[in-house]
Amino acid sequence: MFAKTRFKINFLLIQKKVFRSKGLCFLSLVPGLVVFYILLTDSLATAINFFLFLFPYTFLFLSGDMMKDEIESGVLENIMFLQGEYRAYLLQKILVLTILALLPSAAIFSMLTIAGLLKGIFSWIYLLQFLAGLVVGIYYVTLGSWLSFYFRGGSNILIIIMAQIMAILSLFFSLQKKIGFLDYLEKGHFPNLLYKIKFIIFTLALPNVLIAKKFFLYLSVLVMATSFFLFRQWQRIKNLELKKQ
Amino acid sequence: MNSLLIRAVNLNKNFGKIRALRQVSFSVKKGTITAFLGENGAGKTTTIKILLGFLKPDSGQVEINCSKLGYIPDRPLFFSWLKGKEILHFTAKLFGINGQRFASLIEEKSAKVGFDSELLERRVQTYSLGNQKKMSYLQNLIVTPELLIVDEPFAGLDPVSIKLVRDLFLDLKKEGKTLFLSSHLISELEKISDEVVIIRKGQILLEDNIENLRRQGHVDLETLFLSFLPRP
Repeated sequence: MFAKTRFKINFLLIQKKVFRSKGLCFLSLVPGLVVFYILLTDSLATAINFFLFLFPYTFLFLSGDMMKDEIESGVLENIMFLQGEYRAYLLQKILVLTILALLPSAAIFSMLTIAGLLKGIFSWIYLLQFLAGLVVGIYYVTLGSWLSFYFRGGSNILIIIMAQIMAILSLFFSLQKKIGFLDYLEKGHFPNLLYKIKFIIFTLALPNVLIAKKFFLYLSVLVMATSFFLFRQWQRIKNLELKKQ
Repeated sequence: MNSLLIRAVNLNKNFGKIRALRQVSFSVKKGTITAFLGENGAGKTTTIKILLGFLKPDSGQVEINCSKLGYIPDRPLFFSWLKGKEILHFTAKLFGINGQRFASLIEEKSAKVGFDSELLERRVQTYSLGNQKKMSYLQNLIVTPELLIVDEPFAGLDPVSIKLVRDLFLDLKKEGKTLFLSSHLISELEKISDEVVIIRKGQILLEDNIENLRRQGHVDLETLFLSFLPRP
């Protein structure tokens, strides 16, 4: 009973934080706004494809302010978090942010699905892509929160985005070869282990490519990485002490 | 029925090379007010944080024998995005206090600590230090904890509020609550405390009943406390 109340309170606390932060709200709405713009200026199919590629970023943006700031600020030294309850709060934060990112994503996807069904252009592969996007989103939240133990709010996201820019730039270097990484990526076939490893590293930086290219098998890499980051955070939170800075 | 609400046994805590606590042992009896005295950096806050579960001791044990525990930090900090009322609302929900009782509790307890309840519509971040401290008192009082641990109970408070808080402690004691008050303002605590624990450089120097000490000829706590310090 108490655990249920605790989760409910934690959910409300985090939800208030997200809704009161104008920057976070705006960033989380960006994927939805882009889709809406495409819907107005292009086709529904294009809008769905853009949405499926972009919606995991809602998860990433919401993971901006996760651990370090709250741990070090002293706000957890409160009657609500005595006897180690701050650990439950921090662990549940990962789950709550995932739910908060999932709700608008699922709502937009439902609307696009209904529109797609009415226009007769809906394909069941979209549903698989949406599920793959959820895996990517959860990966972003766990990666973002893991990084937030080391970096202040916002810097954790910036690091991930920088890694994505580097990954995209690396594609340009592959153009120098007659047949390079980009070609294999386009074909969805990697000739040897080295290219496969390269692709896995690329995926860890820019996992959205799995949704766009429908490489569902490689999602297992993300699931493993997510499990790793979750485990590391659980270990860290289990032994966490609140030392106000 | 255990009459000891807190039992700390041989607590040790190091921060890097700094030995913050060394074999700290003491106990707190139910229904008493215990003054936990020490200079700045003596290890008071570290001990309290271990009691509350915010820090883990390197060795030693802590027993807290009550289900409802309260805590007022030296300088309370709150989630910056929440209004005073929201913080109290969440606290009440967490501890199972219903809406009607919640409203009456806010009114009653605000008066006890001299808190202007109109402030509750504002974010706590905008309060003065004194009002943040009062807010922390209010947050704890609506929960009615069996054991209340207060770090520097009078820090940031004006003389009128200090008097109110002192009276509040005595009222809580009458209701059978237990208070563990950590401070270096000895004269304020002496007026209300039953027991005293003195800590210096991470070691407990004295644990006794104040009446006992008086019977032994100690005039006041301040003189006793100063007798433990090196003479300048």
